Amino acid sequence: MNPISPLPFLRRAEDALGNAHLNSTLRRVTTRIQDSRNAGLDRLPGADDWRDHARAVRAHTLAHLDRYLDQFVTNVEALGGHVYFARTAQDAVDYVTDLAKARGLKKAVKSKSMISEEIHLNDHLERAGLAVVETDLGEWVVQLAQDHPSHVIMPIIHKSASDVADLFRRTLGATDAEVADVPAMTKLARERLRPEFLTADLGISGVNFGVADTGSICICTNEGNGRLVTTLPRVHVAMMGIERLVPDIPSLGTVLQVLARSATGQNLTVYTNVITGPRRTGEADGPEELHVVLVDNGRTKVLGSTEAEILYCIRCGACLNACPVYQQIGGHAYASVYPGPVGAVLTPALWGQQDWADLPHASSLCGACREVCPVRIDIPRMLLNLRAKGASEGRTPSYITQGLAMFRRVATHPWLFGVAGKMAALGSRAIAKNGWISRMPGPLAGWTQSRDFPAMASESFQDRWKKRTPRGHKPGETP
Amino acid sequence: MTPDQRQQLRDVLRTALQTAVLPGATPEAPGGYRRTDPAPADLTPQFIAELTTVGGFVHQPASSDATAVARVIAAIAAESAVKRALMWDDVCLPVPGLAAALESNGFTIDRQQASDLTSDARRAELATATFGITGADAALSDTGSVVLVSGPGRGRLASLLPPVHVALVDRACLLRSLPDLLLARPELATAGSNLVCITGPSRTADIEHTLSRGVHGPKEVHVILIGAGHRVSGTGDDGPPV
Repeated sequence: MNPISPLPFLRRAEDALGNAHLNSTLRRVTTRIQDSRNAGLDRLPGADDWRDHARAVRAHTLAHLDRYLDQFVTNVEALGGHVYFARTAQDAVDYVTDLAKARGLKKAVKSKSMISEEIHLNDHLERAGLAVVETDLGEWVVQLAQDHPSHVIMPIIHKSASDVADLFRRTLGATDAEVADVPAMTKLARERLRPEFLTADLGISGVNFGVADTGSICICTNEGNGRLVTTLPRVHVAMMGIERLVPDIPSLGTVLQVLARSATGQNLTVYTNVITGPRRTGEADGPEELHVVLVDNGRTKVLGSTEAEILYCIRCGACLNACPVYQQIGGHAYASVYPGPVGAVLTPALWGQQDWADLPHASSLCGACREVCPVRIDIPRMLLNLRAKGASEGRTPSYITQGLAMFRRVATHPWLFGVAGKMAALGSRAIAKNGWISRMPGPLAGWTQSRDFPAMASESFQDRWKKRTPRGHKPGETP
Repeated sequence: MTPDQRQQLRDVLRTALQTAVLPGATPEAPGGYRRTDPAPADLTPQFIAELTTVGGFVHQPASSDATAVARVIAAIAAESAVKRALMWDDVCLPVPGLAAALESNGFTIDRQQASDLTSDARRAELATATFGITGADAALSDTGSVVLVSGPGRGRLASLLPPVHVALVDRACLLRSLPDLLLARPELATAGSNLVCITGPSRTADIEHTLSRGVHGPKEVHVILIGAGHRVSGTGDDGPPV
């Protein structure tokens, strides 16, 4: 996919940092959700063991993905479902639009699916003449605002309650009473979307996990829209990344144990929905047809690379909330459907470093992402790896290569180092404001493009060392 | 999937796996995690506490006969002008004769039919139910959840469309957690086209992570505990305590 913004990352980040409303909303929400996540895991006895086991499940599945996907396809088909393997985003949207045309489908209701964002499914379906309605509250807001989600589980983390109220007034003609507070807006969503569920003939969902040995798919939602979308319309299309698989039902239990706790801090999402095939004989509801679209769109490339570990991800979003960079700039600055630390690895790994060279640099490598990851993905390792790859492909910005060459020269000549240090101490204090320099002069400007530089101390370390008082000895006394 | 597609899927994966770097991958499937923390002797108190925490209600009528249970449901519905219940078939509920007892308490009973979803008028009618009454295949004390498996006479919509969901739970089907259930009884997950584990009322926190209940599913979830108490003893030879 292409970046959602033509601006370079540093400009996007700068814009985000200058947006005080966004900063305060992000700070408030990421703090709250991190507290919830910590409490959720604290309540789970042996949480670390559960996480280790969940990691083992994901690692094993990926290592045998050929076998498990084969088994999954066989089982979905045995239940009367259809499976399509979409090599590219285009293949995936073509399959769904062709299916909609062939069945004469008119209206699609959707529950949250990051992969459909990835392949721009809504745009294509609308162009093919279908009405498409997002039904997750956050995704509905995104759709009404013609915006993009900025978080993998909280799509409108960048919007305040008053932003949403304004949007509902403007796009839905909502009254002040209907947008008075969050419960009122929730009620409005229920009233407006219920008729859509009842009249849609196509339901589109994502998939949290597929189960190889049963052909089941598991969809976790809190609102209940995931159940309505997969129960009422006569055709259900489930969009699934090829990596989102577990071997069996007991393994599903293990990954579910850590998913919701890491995501929102809930013990479980309100609805953990396991679907095994289309409606069966004698059942009164459920779709007549079930289609699972397995989407590759770069995933096999990631699997064959040193970044394959990022595919262990179960999309809880904990690494976004814990990341000091994400907390400041939010999701849109990454310009990818997958923001934050996971996105900084996944995006360039999926779609190449050509368009996404700067994302692996959007990190201070503090390791908070690895710390909170329910399946302990070593994100910093892969960020470094991608930076190294970028460098070897000549994608390192010139200010870094030139700056480092200059530093090497200075740092390897002691007399030059001393002189440069003295000059820098004088100069830096002259241009600093409150002890910090936000823009260094000349070729050094590159360094301050994405960080501030502190003014240097008035006395250098070397000078202080010469004047030192050795422990236990008086000045002038020979030790 | 066409045979060509299937082969393509196998080929691209096998090629990728030759160079994949997958730390921690074991050749043997790890299976589900077997917890080692001890189970409480009685799961009921925790079930009640957890379901209450997520905003649900638990009722424990002194008797489990239809009259007593209908009285509990009537009390839940006391302030409702419309008493229209979408119900599972009687044989799928742990309380014989409940529908008749509810009718004598002023309820109108609706049942899902296999032909329901083909008629727009019928869909609209289903959505007018104010109460959904179901049984449950399991209840989970760690999370306050109820687990429902779909099947003939056990429609999904009864626990989904009405604003109030009442689940009748036999105490004998209390287990500790969803992972415990899926480890001990994996066949339950595929017994119908749908297994749903419901943990409290429908909710959202999409706007500023502020909790709000009753988005698309029920705003209220009531569990009525039926039958005598059930005690779980320690670890048996045939598996973990559940």
